[in-house]
Amino acid sequence: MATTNPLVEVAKEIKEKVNQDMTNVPIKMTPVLKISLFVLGILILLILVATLFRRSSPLTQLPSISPAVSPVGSVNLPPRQVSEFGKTVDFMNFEDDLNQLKQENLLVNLTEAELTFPLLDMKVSFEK
Amino acid sequence: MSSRIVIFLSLVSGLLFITNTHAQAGFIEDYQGYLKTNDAYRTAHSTYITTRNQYLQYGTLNSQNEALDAVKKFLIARDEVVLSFISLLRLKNNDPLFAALLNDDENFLKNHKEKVPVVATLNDAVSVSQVVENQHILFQVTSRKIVATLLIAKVENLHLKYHQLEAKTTSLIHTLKNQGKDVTTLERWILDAKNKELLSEQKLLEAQNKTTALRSSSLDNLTQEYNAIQFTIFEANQYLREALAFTTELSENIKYGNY
Repeated sequence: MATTNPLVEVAKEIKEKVNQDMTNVPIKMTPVLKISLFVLGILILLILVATLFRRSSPLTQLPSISPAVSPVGSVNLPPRQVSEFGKTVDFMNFEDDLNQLKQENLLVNLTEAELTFPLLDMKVSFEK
Repeated sequence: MSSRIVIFLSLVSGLLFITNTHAQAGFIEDYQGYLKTNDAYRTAHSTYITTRNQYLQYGTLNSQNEALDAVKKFLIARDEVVLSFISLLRLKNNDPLFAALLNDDENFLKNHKEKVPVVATLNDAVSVSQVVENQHILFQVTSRKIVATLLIAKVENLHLKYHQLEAKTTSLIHTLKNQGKDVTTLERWILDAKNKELLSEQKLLEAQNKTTALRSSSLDNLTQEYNAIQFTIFEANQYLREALAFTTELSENIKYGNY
């Protein structure tokens, strides 16, 4: 003789009752319900799409935190003092000559592109 | 007396300025002429190539005559380009040896140009052309030697000016030394500048030797050798620039130092 657990029996009874109740509940798909469900579905879809785009759009990206730049004020160096010898005519003439020579050295044309030998055809022939 | 000297110097410098301006204007004018002959040469060359191809393709008497006519015009145009280029070189050249070579080349090309109109066959045209083709590399050697000498002279001129400046620098340092100032740093700068100047002189000498040794083995070799000379001249000028930079440091030291 198989003995049955009383708790199992109670559980079976409850299950049967619930099943019976559920089958008795009248679910009618009215047009209002259909429209509501459709609108709800669309809304969920829109929310999903919006979430996806929000993640990928560069406009919605969080700005990167850049280190703050502290403004640096202009440094006013004291004017350099010209020496006594630097004010003499000899030195000033020397300085002028030096600057002139530097300029000449910088601007000297060492290519003479106008004097490049012309490219000429030097192989006249009437053979194939 | 001094006013007479001033007037004399003003006249001399004025004349030099006018001569230089005139020479520059002459060169620009000749260069424009050279460009025109070069354009004419290109047109003649294009016609020669076209007629030559037609003759080689069809072999008709008419195409042969057209090719002959075109090749004669081409040969004359080619001679004219080189003649025009020689006149440009002559304006820039100061060396009597090169001047004589340019005269020889010019006479040779003028004679050749006179022979072209009497050419009667395509074979004759080829032979007449070969006479210039054989001389072509020699022209190029002379031309490149002249240009290299010109470039060397430019750097040498700067060198000469630098020597004068160096003498002034030494004089300034002596003056300061006599005043009991410490010139150790200044002497170091001038020593560095002198080293650079020596390097520049070496490079100039190297460029001169290479220019003298320029030979006509082949056009490619010639171009390669000439490029090496040009690079050596650039180096000489660069060393001179560095010497000037050291002299500038010296000048700044005197100007803002304890002198």
